[in-house]
Amino acid sequence: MTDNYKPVDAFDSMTESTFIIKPSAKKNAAVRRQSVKRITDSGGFVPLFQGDESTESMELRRTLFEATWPPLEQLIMNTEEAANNVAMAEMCTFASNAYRKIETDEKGRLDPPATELATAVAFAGVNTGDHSKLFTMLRVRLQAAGHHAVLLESQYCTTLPNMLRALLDQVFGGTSAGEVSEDSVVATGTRTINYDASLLALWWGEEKQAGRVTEDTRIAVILQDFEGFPPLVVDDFVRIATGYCQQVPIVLVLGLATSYESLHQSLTKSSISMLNVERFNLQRSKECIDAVVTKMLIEGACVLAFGAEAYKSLLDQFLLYNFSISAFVRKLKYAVMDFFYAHPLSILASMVDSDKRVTDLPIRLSYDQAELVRMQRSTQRFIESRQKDNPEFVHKALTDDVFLQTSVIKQMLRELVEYRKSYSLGIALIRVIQEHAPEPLRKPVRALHFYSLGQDFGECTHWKTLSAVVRKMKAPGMEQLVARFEEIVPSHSVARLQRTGLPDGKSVQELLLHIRELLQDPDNSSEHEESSLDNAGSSSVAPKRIRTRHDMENRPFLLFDNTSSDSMLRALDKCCQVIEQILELCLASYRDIPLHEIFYYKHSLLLDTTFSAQPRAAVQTALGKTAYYINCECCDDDEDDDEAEQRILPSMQDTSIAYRLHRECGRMINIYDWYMAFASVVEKEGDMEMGEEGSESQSQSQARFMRAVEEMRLLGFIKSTQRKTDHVIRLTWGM
Amino acid sequence: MFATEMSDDAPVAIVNGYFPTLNLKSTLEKILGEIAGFNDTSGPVVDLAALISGYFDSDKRTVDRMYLVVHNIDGACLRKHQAALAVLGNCKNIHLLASVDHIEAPVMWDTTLATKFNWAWHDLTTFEPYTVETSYENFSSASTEIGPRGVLHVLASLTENAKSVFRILAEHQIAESVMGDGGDDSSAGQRLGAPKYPGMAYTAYFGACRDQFLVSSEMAFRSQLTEFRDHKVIQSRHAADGSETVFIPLDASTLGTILEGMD
Repeated sequence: MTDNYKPVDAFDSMTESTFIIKPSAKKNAAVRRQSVKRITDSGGFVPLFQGDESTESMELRRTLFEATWPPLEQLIMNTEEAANNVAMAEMCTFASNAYRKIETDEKGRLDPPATELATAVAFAGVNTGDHSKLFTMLRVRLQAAGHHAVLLESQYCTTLPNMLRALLDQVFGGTSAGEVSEDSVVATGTRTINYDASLLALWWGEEKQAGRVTEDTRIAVILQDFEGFPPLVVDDFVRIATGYCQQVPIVLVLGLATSYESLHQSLTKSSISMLNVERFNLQRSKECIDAVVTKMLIEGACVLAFGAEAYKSLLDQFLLYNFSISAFVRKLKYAVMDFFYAHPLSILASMVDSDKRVTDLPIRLSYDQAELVRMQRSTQRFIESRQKDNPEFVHKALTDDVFLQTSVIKQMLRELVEYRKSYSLGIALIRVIQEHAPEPLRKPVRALHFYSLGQDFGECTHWKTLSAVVRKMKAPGMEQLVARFEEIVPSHSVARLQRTGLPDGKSVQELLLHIRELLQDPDNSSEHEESSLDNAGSSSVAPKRIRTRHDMENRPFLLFDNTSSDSMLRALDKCCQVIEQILELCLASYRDIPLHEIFYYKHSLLLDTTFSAQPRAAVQTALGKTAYYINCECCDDDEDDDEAEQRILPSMQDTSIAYRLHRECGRMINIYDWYMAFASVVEKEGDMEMGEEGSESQSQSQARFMRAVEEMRLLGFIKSTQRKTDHVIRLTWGM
Repeated sequence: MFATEMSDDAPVAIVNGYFPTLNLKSTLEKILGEIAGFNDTSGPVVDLAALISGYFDSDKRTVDRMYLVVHNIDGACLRKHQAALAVLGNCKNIHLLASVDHIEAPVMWDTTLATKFNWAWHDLTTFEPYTVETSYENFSSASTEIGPRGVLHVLASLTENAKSVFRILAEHQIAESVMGDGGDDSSAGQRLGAPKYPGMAYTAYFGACRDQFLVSSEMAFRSQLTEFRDHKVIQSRHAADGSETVFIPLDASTLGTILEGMD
């Protein structure tokens, strides 16, 4: 293998390690004159269809993306705030009430126990990546409640002076007393003030006199990641703060990721005794994720939905790593970006507006785009379903692009929108049923969504258990259930359910009304009349309640319950049937819906490789199984069943040969032996080519070997050793 | 290529992480000076990073955003400064592109750092040889010593005269060390206070070179020695009485090999 000599890049230098390039105005002007397109012109969007996509289509995708993501982000932030609302409000109250003089009955005022520092210990959970957002939110809340709030991070507070400096900077910087901050650190990087707690006390005294702070204002010092702070520093700080807490009402907030034990382990006993501790729980990531899933994916705030594997990838990221909301949101954002960036039919998303109505597409579909729509299986199914009723429709749909755009796509999109509405209704109904079920059967929303995406409704085991619960319900429970259903249904105005699927062509509401009446008055309904003919013969004999094993399993209360009549049983039965029918309709699989290939995101592999990357596996695959990356013919060797026995061919890449040879060695590798093995492999190539021999090829193979060894060292497979000369230590095993 | 062709709308800072003497502090100061416009900055690396990040977060900045390209963010000199780089990566208006080559690279980041960096990974395996990264193999400026290969390399580019000047010192040093070893078999190792590398006194060395007509004046000799010193081929030390001794910081056997290699 010969390498071409490449000219050295302008940024490789033996002396300089950093280069800064600024965009020059002249260059920009010159480029614009030539009207060369640059990627940054359109914010990174490129025309698809190998450049054939029209500019307006591309711009539409870009505007759609820029319009879609920010509201979603805002929605997620609001959801997070709402989830943590209660806990944060409690903490604000705690801060306000700290150091407050206790009123006694004799209309005197009693001071609280002397010199204890009010401390709030907030358990924020193991998702440390989310903590900065969480504590920033807390800080904003405290400031809104009228207190001064300071957020300290461990990386800036390695020593006590640093910590005090950071504290005072934030306190002074946030107030109107700017004359102190003009001298301070921010602009120049040098410090001229002696940062000390007495300075804080002085300042506080001034503020009090000036009237800018009241009796109730506190200074809340939030230590965001308590476990990251050096324990001695925190100790000293606690002592100082306790000393000054009569003059300056400091409230300490400690953000803990692990448990209360870490507090005891870090601080000394004497400093813990100075703390007046109260605990708060800010671990709301699971509720938050449930809320996010409900709003975005189920109720459809996000126009993009997720298919089964992609959703699993999102959930696994959350559950299996560290319950981090930000990781979940990151993946979601990437999926939305990928959708708008890489899918040419993402422009169809512009047809669904925020009120879930279907509007017109602002641009005309090109031929390629229209063909792509027609090629989707779901579209073909949709069109074929109309064949019997309306063959002309079919003909027009397949030939006329404009008709496709204005009529067919709109109809399909309407179905999709309706499906999503009914889906969210179905999930809401299942949640209601879960409330009536015993505790272990109650699954969170994210799991319910996962089940319905992944399996057909009839096969889902969770639903089967729930339906058993429904069947076991007695009359009062059933009535309650139906009443709840009736409350929920009107809020999801679902036209779809009125049209298809339900027996007797009744709508959902009508059905629910019907069964409610049935329950209230089972003896006196039309149902009873229909079946009374069947039972006419047996009405004289008291019928046996438990007739079949099915009854035994599903209605065990019949053994003890003699009051409910046959008709009530039939009513209950009918209720169960109706409920099952409704749910089956609502939660039908998304694969039956038109345009699901477009609007249900399926690239789970992309999400996985982007966020759960394995660089080591990539390197080892590249070296060990080079054919995955380069499918060259010279190295096309049939792999044996036992992959470890693949022969080392001389036509493989140098580092790959060296890597495979080193795999066969033990812990210490003798470089000379390694070189001999390498040379024997490589010189086979020389024989095959019948080219140069002698010292020329030997020095060449030596040079190649040295380069390969150096690359292996750079990659981290081997390490040089002091103990034995001419040896290197092997660092990796297993592959 | 990215830096020159695609990113025309904002300044780009390129940091070669594989450079063995990379000093992140000076890099950040450079960025502060040229892009953000601060002068006269100092402080620990984390604070500098916070300054840059603060600048790009403020609304009154002149430069809208910045691209930071770090080749080999897992390079030897950058491994300890990941926290500072994370502060930069966390900033919304600094766009960070980095490459990693080491197989254990992700170990450098814990969850907090990884969240701050917010990496999106791409597998860009090319099979290009690592010519640039491996070219720094023997480049260690931390030590003032130079290896035998370096010396040979330097000598190969010198004149015959210069080679002979070197040869005189080398032969003298070999002779001295042989005599020193031969005489000293009672005490273990060298006596305390005796130099590790025997050298030649400056005046004696000058005299020997002049005798062989290798140098014409002291100025020429001194400039020759300065040249050697710049390449770290020789070093000098001062004795208590003020005389200067010049020596080559290599042991006798290595010197012998070099002399053989020179011919």
